[in-house]
Formats: sequence, C-alpha cells, structure tokens
Amino acid sequence: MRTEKIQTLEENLNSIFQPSAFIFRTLTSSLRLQDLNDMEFLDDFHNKKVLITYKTTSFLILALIKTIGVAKEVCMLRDNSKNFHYKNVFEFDISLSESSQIGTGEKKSSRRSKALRTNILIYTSGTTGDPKLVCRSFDSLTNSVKKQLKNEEIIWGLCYDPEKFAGLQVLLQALLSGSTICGIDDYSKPVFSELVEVFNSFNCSAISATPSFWRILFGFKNLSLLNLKFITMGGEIVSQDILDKALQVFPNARITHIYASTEAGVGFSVRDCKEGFPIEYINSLTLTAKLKIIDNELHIKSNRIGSYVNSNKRIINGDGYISTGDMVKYTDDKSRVLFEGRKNKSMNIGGNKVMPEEIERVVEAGHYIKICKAYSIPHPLLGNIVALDFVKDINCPLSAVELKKNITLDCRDKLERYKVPVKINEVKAIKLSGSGKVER
Amino acid sequence: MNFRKIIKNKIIEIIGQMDLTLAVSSIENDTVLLESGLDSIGFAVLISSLEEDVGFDPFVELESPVYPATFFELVSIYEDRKDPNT
Repeated sequence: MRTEKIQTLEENLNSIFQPSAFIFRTLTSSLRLQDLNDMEFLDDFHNKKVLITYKTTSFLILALIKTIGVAKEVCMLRDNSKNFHYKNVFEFDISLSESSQIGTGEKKSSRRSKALRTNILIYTSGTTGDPKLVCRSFDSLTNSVKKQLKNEEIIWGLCYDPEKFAGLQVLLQALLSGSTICGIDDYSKPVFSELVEVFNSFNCSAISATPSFWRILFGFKNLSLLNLKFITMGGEIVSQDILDKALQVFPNARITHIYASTEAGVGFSVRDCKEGFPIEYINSLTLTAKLKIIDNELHIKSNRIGSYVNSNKRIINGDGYISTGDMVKYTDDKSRVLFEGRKNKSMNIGGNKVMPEEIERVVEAGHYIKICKAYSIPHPLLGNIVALDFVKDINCPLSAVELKKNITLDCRDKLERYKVPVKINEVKAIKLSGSGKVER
Repeated sequence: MNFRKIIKNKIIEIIGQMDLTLAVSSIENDTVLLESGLDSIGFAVLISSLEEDVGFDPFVELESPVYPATFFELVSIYEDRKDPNT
C-alpha cells in the first residue's frame, strides 16, 4: 500500500545532495561517493528519531548522508563531547554508532520521497548556561546554501565538528553543491598545525571560521601558500583588523562576514570588508531576515528560526523577533552598526559595564598580538579589575615588558580609564570552545 | 626582602611605563600615593605587578580590607605580611 515514490539511494542522493567523488578527506582516510553506495546500515531509518554517536568525522558525515531525507529527526553527539550526558535524556528510536553493524550493499534501505524532510537537532555552544538543543528543519538549514557555479571547484576546509551549527553549515554547503571537504577526524582536540597541513595537502580553497580561529590560523606561515578564494568569518565580532589581515594575506579571496546563530540560522552577510554592517540593513525589505535594535540589542526575525527541545524558553518574542543578546552601537557618522559584545558577558568595573570584546579589539589591532582575552577578576582593595591574557606573534621582536607597555598605552589612548587592563599576562595559548570562540 | 626599595622602584617604573609624571621630588613615608603622580589605574597596576615581583598579594590575604593612603602604609602592609608579629 505504499503510495510514496520509492527512490534508490542514488536517486535520493542526487535529489538532496550532489556529493563529489571525494566527500571528506583527512591525511589518513577518505570518504568517497563509492563508500556511500557500498555501505549500508541494517536499520531502516524511515521516519525514525536517530541518535548518531561518533568518534570520527568521517563516520558522522556518512551517517548524516544516510539519514537525512529519511529519518524524522537526527541528533549528533561526539562520544567524548561534554554534551554526551544528554544521550539518555531524549528518546530516540535508533542509536547509530561506529560499532553499528554495517553491511556491504546486501540490504538496500528504501529511501522514499524526498518530501519527508528531516529535522536536525543541534546543541548551542552553551556559552550562556546549559547547552540548549535546538531543532532546525533541513530546509531552514539549507535555504541559504549557494549552489556553486559550474566548473568552479571548491574544496572546503572544515574547522569545526559538524555537530555544531558552524560546522554543519559548511558540511551542508559542500554536500549540496558537490564540493569536497577536507579536515580531521577528531575536532574535540584540534591540532592547528595538522589542520593547516590538511588544508595545504588538498589545496583547500574555502574556509569558514570564527575570527579567533582565523587569528590562530594566520599565525601559520604556510597558510599563505593556500590559494583561498572564499573566506568566511562569523560567530564572534568580526573586527576591522582581522578583515584587513585576511585581505593582506589573501588579496584575491572573497571575504564574507556572516551573522548567524544556532537558533536563528543565517541572518545576513556583509561583503564590503568593513567591520559591522551598513545601517541600511536595519528595517531593510530586501534582506531575508528583518533586523531592529531595541535598547542597543540586535533583534532578528527570519523564517529560519528553530525551536528549543530541552528548554521551555521560547526563542521568539511576542513581536516575532528573537533577542540575539548581541549588543550594538552606531558609528559616529551613523552609517554603520558595530557589534559591541554579548549582553550577558559584560564585566562590572567600578560600577561601569565593560564589554571584554571592546578591550580585545583595541589590543588585537596593535602590533605583534596574535590573540587576546579580557576578563575581570575581583580584588579586595581594587574592586573588579580588568585582566588581559595575550599570545604574541611568533615574529615579535619586543620583550614581554615592552609589549605590556604598548598594550597599556594603546588602551589608555583609546579606551575610558576604567577599561584599561590592570593585570596583563603573556600566555602560550587562549582556549577556544568547540565552535572556535574565545571561552568566557 | 626590602619592600620599601622594591615598592619605591616599582612606583617610579610604572609612572614611566604609563607616561605619567612623578609629582613629588622624592617618595617619602608621608607621600600620599595618589598624589605621587600615580593615578588610580597606575595604583591598580602597581598592586597587581607587585604580586609578580614579591610573589604574593597581601590584600588578598587580609581578612578585612585595608586602604593604604601613604607610601608608609603601603610598605607596612607588605612588611607586616612578611612577619605578622612586627
């Protein structure tokens, strides 16, 4: 009594994805189109809730391609992720892991009409309290994906786990446009030098990462050997100095700043290589997302907004917009809107609200600073004081004392007095979260 | 450890480092810290960088907060921590 059109795996792959011959490559392994046709899971995922637990990125991608368009819901968990304890909280029909029995083509699971779309459950980065699980429809995740032009071969460099929104966007972009992705099999402890080696080995031409991630990548001299055509930045404030750096290292690349979140999806993008976004974006009728600013906080309305699964909190306000938590201000000439920082991450210094990002922007624009992190520490005599950790450039000829003096003078020159870091420490590395953001 | 010397040198170093001006001819016991040429940030930098030099921050260890006004009071806090009986 089946009325749906039954499609073969190949037809389904072609109707949803256009995988390239090499789907995912690492230095030691590769996932090929051929593997997809050869490898079958014994379970039938049709209309089921599937939990994919995985150790390697390759397996995750294979399992995603096999379940998207077939399963009702898919959730991904790296088996050493900090979210792993949520594994038993939700009821899934099928738990799919790398130990699941995999046959070789004997039992072809029937893929049915692509009309059955799959919802994908994604954990937010959890920087604001417990990680929340957001349910996003496949369509809402992919309607910003650009189908690439013919004869334009793009090799994507994957910087994050595809279970994170930022990584998934890159994965879906590549799968839907027939591009190869290169990366590593374990993003829980990324080794940057290995990533850069992978990108070089496979002539990677497009990379999407947070500004903090880029700051670290730019520290590798061999990165500039790449012929990058597409550079994307997002997830954190994209400041002018990092845009300038990208332009300087890759003058031929198209540099895009994407404003997106796990909850709201892709909001808008900026391509003019200037920090912030043009004021015309506010109340614009041509953008897919609508923007407005209430009490200096950016609010966004789009048809790509998801819903929380493990929280009663509503994503959408009564007016149909979501409060992004991103604080903004206008430039003096009112031509652009600049990001200031996260609403709940401001520091209280002597009764003043201070955004750590504002201090970091000043310090990172100075010479020989690779990346830094501002934070506050309580002091019994001084109240809360601003502390700053920084990593210097490899080429830096200055001593730590000279660098600290430069930082202090720069900050005194450009910031209000109470924002000047009092305790400045040189450190070897600044820890980034799994989605490439400075941990706060 | 000669705290008097260490702290005096540190004040002069920070005033130089932060492009401030030493406002007194010399730093004496009764010199008011915030009139020495150090501003409030300079004072905060002084306390936090002294920790790097002497290896402790006496203010963190004090049970009740003490606010030193003069150079003498500041030096005493460091010296008292070294030997609480004096």
